[in-house]
Amino acid sequence: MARLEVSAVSLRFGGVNALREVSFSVADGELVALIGPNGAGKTSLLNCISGVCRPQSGKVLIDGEDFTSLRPHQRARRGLARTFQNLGLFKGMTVLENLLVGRHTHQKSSVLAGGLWFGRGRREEQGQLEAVLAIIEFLELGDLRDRLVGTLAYGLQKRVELGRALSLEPRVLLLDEPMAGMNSGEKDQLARLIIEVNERRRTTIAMIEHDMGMVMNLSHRICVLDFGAKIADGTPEEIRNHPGVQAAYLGQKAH
Amino acid sequence: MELFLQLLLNGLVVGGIYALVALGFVIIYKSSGLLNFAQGEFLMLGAYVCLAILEETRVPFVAAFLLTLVFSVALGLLLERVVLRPLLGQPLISVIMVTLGLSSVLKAVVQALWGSHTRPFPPVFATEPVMLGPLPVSQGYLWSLGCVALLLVLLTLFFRFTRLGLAMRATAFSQQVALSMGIPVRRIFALSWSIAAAVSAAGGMLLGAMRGGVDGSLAFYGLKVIPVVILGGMDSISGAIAGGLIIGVLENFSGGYLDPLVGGGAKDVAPFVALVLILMVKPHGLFGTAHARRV
Ligand SMILES: Nc1ncnc2c1ncn2[C@@H]1O[C@H](COP(=O)(O)OP(=O)(O)OP(=O)(O)O)[C@@H](O)[C@H]1O
Ligand SMILES: [Mg+2]
Repeated sequence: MARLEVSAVSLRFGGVNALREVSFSVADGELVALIGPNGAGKTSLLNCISGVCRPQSGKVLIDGEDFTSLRPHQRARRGLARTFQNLGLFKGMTVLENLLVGRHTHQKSSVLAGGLWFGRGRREEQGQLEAVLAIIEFLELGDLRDRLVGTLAYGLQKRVELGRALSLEPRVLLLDEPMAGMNSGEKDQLARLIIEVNERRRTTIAMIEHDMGMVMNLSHRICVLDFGAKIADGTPEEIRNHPGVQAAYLGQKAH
Repeated sequence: MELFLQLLLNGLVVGGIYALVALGFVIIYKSSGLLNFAQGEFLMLGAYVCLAILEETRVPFVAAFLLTLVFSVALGLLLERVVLRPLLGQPLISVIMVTLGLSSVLKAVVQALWGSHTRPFPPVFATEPVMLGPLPVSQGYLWSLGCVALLLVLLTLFFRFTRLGLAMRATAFSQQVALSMGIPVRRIFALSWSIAAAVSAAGGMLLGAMRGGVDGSLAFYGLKVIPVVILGGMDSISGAIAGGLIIGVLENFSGGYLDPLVGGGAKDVAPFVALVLILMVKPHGLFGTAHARRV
């Protein structure tokens, strides 16, 4: 059984067919890239998986459980985490606080016991703090943990957002253009981290990315969208030589 | 000098109550984008409920105070569920109309249950004043200031250090992102109504105890929310606190110094004059942000 299974999802915005019967699946531990020209429907597909958008038809399953009618926070609770194309960080909070928000679903202490200073709440809170600090360490953000996120460079913010998604300890991680706006040094560093997340933490990842070099290097499998439809799905090697894919990208260059 | 200190103290006491009421307004606005015009009625209702508990059960004031807070939390949850949840995504104007309607309903309920004449509040604070240097100060004032300060500190700690406090700040920033973190945003809305109802009720109970009586005019404290949040910034908690204190102090200074000169009325006008002047310099209020607008 696939870890993430999207079957025949169609999504319309008024007259725009953002997705037409798109099916794809990601196996446990796999890293799959979603590519396609601008406006192809990649973000829309991620939105359908995470619950931001409700497709008119089709299904989304994780480990066989039907997620299609769950609300976004219920999906997060069941092990789905995502990042946003245009950064969805809490800019007025520190790096540490952003990641602590990501622990929301793992904390059990209630309103009254939820404070740092009250009995059981305190001990539990410390457990949460340790989990978050480990992720901050892992992402090499240690020096920045008390900085307000809004004051960080763009590349660093992207890394913080990855960290916040990781602090949900997801079964499936969805990344929407995690490297956009980065220089090549930052991209290499992030690529290394993504590989570690995928291999060492064995997190299943579906990632939208435009940098073809990175996509070819990182992914086990690539899925190509064009005008809302899936036009190819295969290994990097297969995709590189796929005539339809080349046409889609050449077509985009023309206008 | 003595007049100055007396006016300052009166201003801070009243301003503290304004701050509580405005705080409730800002918390609801920040988390859900709704404007709640029933804050003054929450305050009035809190005072009446506390009085009813005192009369019926003869428990000490502290117990009645805490019970009323519990009642207000429950009321906030109920109102969010029954009245406001159906309104999510409706145009702003309908939401405003509904909270205005809610304020009339709450007023009518209070009148039906307890009548419209002033009801005496049992004495809570010792009556003989304490001397602060040369200044005789009523004990009720000191207790009220202390309670307001304690509530404000607790709320600040709540927002900084608790899971739900963080979740509320996350929701205020972006509902969509908060949802993606697994935060049940609707429950956060309900929580914001509970907190708003409870802090306003606290203000009402303190006022009732200080004045020694409650009546419908307590709801007028809600009218001060507008100048306070415009001054402090719609989306700023510290702004609501500072704005409340500033307006309270300004009112008392203009009442004490200007009213004798102009023959009355300055107390009500001066805060608005100050407001206009401040907004000319800082159009989003003292602590507000430019993108405070919500969809
Ligand atoms: N909320 C929305 N309302 C209306 N139309 C939308 C909405 N979101 C996306 N669309 C449309 O759906 C189509 C697919 O958009 P989508 O954002 O999924 O593309 P994308 O592949 O992520 O593109 P990019 O590479 O530019 O991020 C586009 O035509 C877009 O205009
Ligand atoms: Mg996109």
